Amino acid sequence: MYRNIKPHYFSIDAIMAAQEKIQCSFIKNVEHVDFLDMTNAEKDEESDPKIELPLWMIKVFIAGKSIQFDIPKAYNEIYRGVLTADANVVDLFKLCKHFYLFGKFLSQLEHREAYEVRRTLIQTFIDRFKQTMDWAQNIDDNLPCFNRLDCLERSIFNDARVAQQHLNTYLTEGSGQMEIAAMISNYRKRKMHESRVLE
Amino acid sequence: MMHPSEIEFMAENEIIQIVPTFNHAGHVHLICGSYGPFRAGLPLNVPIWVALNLRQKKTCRILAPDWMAVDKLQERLEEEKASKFFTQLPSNFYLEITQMLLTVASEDIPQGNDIKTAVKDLWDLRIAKLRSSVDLFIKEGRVQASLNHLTPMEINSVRPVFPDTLDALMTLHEHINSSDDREDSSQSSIATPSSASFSPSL
Repeated sequence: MYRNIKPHYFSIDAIMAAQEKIQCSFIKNVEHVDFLDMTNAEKDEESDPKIELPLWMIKVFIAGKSIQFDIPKAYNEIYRGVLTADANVVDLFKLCKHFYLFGKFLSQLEHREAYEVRRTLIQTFIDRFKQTMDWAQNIDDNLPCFNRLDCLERSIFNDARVAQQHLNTYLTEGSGQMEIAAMISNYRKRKMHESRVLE
Repeated sequence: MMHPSEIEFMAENEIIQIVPTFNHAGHVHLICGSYGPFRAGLPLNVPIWVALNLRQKKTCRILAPDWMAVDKLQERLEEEKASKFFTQLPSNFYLEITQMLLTVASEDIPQGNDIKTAVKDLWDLRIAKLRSSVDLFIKEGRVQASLNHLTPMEINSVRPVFPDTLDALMTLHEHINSSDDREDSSQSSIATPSSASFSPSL
């Protein structure tokens, strides 16, 4: 039941989040990466044109101090203002599918607004938590609400939903027949296998 | 997370009084203890699962526990309303026991429907209290809370949400702590697991 919320190397969510694109521009000339920019395939990357690169690639260029990027729309000053005012009305999924994870990765990069982004992330999560929980436990048909949650919130929402459904079924219909625990049935299978091997 | 029926299974081990309609001189030896002798008309204590089993065979009458009466439950309800914290309940499995007894032996328990409503009221009240305190806990970024007198079923209702939420919050916080030295002084305003500012509550 417990999901590993922490991103790790093979976490699909983390991979998807690192795939989000950020607008950026090079401040130094970088050789041999002209294939990145499909629009003007003629020359090497130069200082002026802005292009969109995925986050994981920006990380690499940042290490060489050859790039600078803009904070994406969802995290810029205007949206930070909106989220601080009332996080509950924002459609996070539309804004950014992996709002928290991507935001966290983003704030790990060096940028002057990184600190504000982090603060907004935490505050947004806290502000929206009650709403997520209420939706999960109360409304029957809550697809429209569900659509507005970010991926992290969705996994929490789903867990809460399943548990609430179990509880509701129990309260209305009772427990019914208990099922054999997976451990016991596996044990039986193993025993059968062992006896077969012995023969 | 536990399934509600697993908690019900735990509740079935609670002791309850029955009046058997048969005679059985010897003791019945069970893992949870020895029970008996069974004498027709004389009340004795048995685990709930035994009571339900016998009741389904119509060989006994179940005596409702002391607390399972409308006026007692109303008293509890008032007490619960008046208190800011969770109050101690007579049974850790009040919801499950009521549910089980009323399903199998509704004729043995007077005012069954009223009891059902009262228990549901109590449950709703406590769950509402629990939810608002969970929300407060997250909002104020506390790191510790004492949850006295919560029953297993109630704890189970927040269990799927709570640890993951705290986990998610911690990963968000983690980074602030590890790599931010710009604003060390303002850290105390948000309590993270490493900065131990908390107040026992709930």
